[in-house]
Amino acid sequence: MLKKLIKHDFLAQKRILQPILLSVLIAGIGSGLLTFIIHNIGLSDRLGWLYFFLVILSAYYCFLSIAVTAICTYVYYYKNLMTDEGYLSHTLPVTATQQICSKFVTSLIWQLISVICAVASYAVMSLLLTLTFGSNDQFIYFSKILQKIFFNISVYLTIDMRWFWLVLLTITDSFATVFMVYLAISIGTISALKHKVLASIAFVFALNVARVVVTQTFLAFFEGILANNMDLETMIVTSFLNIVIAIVCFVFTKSLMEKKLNI
Amino acid sequence: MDSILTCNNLSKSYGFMLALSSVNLAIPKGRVVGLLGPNGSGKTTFIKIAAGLLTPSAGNIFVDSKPVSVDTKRIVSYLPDRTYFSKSIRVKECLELFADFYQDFDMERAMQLLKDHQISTDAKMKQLSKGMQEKVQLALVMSRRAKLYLLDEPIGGVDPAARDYILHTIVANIHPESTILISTHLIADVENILDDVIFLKSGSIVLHDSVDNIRNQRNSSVDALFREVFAYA
Repeated sequence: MLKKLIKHDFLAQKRILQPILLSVLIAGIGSGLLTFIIHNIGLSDRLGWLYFFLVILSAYYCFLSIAVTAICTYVYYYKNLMTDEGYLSHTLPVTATQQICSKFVTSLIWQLISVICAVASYAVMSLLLTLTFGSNDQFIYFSKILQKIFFNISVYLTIDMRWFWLVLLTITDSFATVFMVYLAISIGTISALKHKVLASIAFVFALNVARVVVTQTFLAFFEGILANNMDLETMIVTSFLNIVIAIVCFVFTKSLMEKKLNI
Repeated sequence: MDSILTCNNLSKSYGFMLALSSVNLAIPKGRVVGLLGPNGSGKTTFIKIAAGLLTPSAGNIFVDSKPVSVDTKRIVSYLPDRTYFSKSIRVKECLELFADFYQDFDMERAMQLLKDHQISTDAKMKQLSKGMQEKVQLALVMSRRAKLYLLDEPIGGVDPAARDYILHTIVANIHPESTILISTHLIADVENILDDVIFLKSGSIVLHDSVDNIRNQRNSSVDALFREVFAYA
């Protein structure tokens, strides 16, 4: 049943997210191509402001789409389980655990797809800009700065397998965030008689503050100093805490759905 | 006779408001039962508890001798008093969803019901009127070979012609082994299809009897008895 649930949840979110992510690809490729064309037909002087504007806008849009995708998956969780759609979802022969896991898996898949789309769009746009301004001194200068930054980061990450812990931290952070938002939405919609969306948003902020306080307190207690984000021990301890937070949020969300559901 | 739905001292409260108060009930298999009462009498709350959408504050409820769970959801076909499909979903995707999750779903029957009402399976729900969306839901719910159908206000808020169609669809799809629990306050429209009636008043059962008994022993129609029981003093 979980497979079927994942299939239907994935398709339901596809109806909303596919157009958004396609527009991200179109924006990146389109603005890169437009810049290339304008530059090569010799209209840079008159229309330079246009491609400058489009490139900046597309770059922002690429990365904004990642956040928009995450928000859309949270809205889907709310709509599918806590509004009229819940009359169907909660009467399907599936458990609360399967419902939460399906939403979680599909949310992560769509967030991953959005990152791939954003990076692909950004990469194509950068490639087209390189082709357009490859010989431009300023462009080469900025490219060198970026290369240097990435080189320094890669050197840093190879020390003590830091790349591994950074990847683990990113993954566990996603897990904890998704389950925390699910819990906040569940508490908000089940406890509030009116303004359920506002209540859910308030609980997202409240739980986020609680999470930061718990993490920082734990790190301070564990290490004797306040956490430094790039520190190896901090990454390991925070990853562990993220897993604990994800499990706690999952258990509470499941319990609320099984015992306090009220739609 | 075996009961499909049993509840013992079932109560539900929303804060300080008591919606159901110590309800004791046993609904036998193979009957068409009307759950009748004025607005706010607890009909929807009762059906939602049986469907697994609400948890009771006290007491127990059993469907086919099992507590409400995934197992009971497999044999219960529930029609709520509102439309529950996403507006962006196509009718054929609704059919696929039911076929995927309910083993007792009869696709041919559903297709025939949709065809009878000229509802295209390619149509999106947002392209259909509210009445048509309700008909899609009814077609899907009645296309299951469920042991228990829970129909919450299936004829509420629709015109008399649509009421006839809905009741015809329900009657035409009744399986001898199935039990149908219909909640409504439009007694005259459903009276002819009911075997038993349950009168619910302020969260308590005030009458549970067969329609034949009401007619023969009380010499009254269900509609007349309802007006008598729920008359405003």
